[in-house]
Amino acid sequence: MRDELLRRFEDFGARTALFDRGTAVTYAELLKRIGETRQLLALHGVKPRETVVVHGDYSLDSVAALFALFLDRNVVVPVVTLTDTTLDTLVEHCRPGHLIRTTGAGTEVEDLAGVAEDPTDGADAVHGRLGDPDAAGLVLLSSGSTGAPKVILHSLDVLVGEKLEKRPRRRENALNILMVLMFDHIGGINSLLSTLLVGGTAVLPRHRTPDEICALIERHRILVLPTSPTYLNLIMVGDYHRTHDLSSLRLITYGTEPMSEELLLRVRKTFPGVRLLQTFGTSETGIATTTSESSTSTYFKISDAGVEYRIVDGELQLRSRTQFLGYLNYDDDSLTEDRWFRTGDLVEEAADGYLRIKGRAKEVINVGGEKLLPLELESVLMGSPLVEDCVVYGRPNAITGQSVCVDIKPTGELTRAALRKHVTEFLAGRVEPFKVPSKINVVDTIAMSDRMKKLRSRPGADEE
Amino acid sequence: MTERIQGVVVAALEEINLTREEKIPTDQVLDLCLYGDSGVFESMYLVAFLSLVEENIEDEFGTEVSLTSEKAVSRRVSPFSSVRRLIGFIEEELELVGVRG
Repeated sequence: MRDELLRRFEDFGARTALFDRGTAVTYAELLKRIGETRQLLALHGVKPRETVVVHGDYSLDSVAALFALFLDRNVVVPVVTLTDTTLDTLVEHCRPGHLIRTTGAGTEVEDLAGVAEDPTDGADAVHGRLGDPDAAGLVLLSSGSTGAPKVILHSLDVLVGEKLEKRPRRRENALNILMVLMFDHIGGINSLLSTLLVGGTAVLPRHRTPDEICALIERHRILVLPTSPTYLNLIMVGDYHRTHDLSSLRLITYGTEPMSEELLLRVRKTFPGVRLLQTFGTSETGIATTTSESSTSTYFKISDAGVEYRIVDGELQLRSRTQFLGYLNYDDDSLTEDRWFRTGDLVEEAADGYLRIKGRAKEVINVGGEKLLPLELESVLMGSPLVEDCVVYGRPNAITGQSVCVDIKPTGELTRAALRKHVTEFLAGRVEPFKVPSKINVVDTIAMSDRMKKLRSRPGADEE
Repeated sequence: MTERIQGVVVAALEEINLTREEKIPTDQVLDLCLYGDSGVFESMYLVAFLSLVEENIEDEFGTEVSLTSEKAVSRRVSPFSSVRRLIGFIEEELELVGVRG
């Protein structure tokens, strides 16, 4: 598999693999950088099978690090925003030996031996769970209920292997794709692998503002835009589709959060002639190929030979070839006894087999495709001396799907403005920016249900 | 009522300015473009700003209005294109729920 990947990159040679900060990088240059990164890793004593954190967003450096670690059979943990909580969780459950920073100029390797006790033993334990001594691993993080993210282990060999089954595209048919989805998300990794392993070009954005995204589409004549409903909304509300020439677009895929019928209608009107395709995926099962009923329909079919689905009590369950191997820090309670993954998505099935997502079975708040569990943020907020009790919930928001709200019972007399200032400062650096509540209410009591569960439903919270 | 709403919007801008290095000018505030090609906010900051205005409206008028409704985002001329249009939108929404200046 590794030989096949290297042979393909060599064959693609002078084709453009990446546009990083406006500079074209050929496959030959990418290969060279991968080789240099492997030498650098060896120089720092990074051993095969060790777990290595890669901190940074898409760049030539981070992409080269990903492939270098794949070739060296390491367990890779890509992380775009590295908070203290995240690093603590990784140190505890993955025992990473090294941290690669690609956030500045060039690639820096840090030894984590002093931080993680016995890094090599621990790393071997993680690698051991891959079940194949010659495989590489991939660790992704997703929102967990205790405040610490869920640590999800995948076989990177399985993910790469699946993409290598597709034949390389001829130069004239190669696609260029804009990497709107994140480097540490399953959708982002999936887009990157599906593009590079068949000889396409990945255009790497820097800030992901709708303005920059549209400018890049115009400049690089982008054909494929994998995105989310929120991004499409932000482009249209800001009129960026009028200030930039987006006529090169042939396919827009959207996923990571539910698409409303109203929004889909506006997208259809704004981008006539562009095919719209809903994707479906989870960090645990990978991205499934889907067929949308039509470009004006939110109904879709899972049409992927590698993915089986079934509906149990209204909830969609999946079993896929690219399924994760387990959580490193949580019980596998989202897996049924027969190893089906419970997505938590409530779906309805039309007579012709098409599916539509109705909502979530769990209390996940989805802010523009970024997900958090209320308990997670509540447990962080309870760490503040000014918060006696609190309840976090989502409210509908036509721009980002949902927004994060919190009712707080403060420990003393505090105005809403003062409390908001405190919460914003308290959460800075403790959680990712999208988790900071956009709305804060000061309350006298926190409502509890008769089973002592916090009541998180609010007027309007279920209108989606 | 327009002035009261304007006061609420300006107060929100001033609060945001406290934490911004690059201050948003509030002198020609009615023509200030909030979002879009010459807008002062990037997307996620726009959402935070709108929430703040919603909170301030609730405090000032005792009623909630949504500035991120399907109605707001699907207008042909966006209510976020200028402060004047945002004020107009808020005024319409308040009148709908029976609040009059």
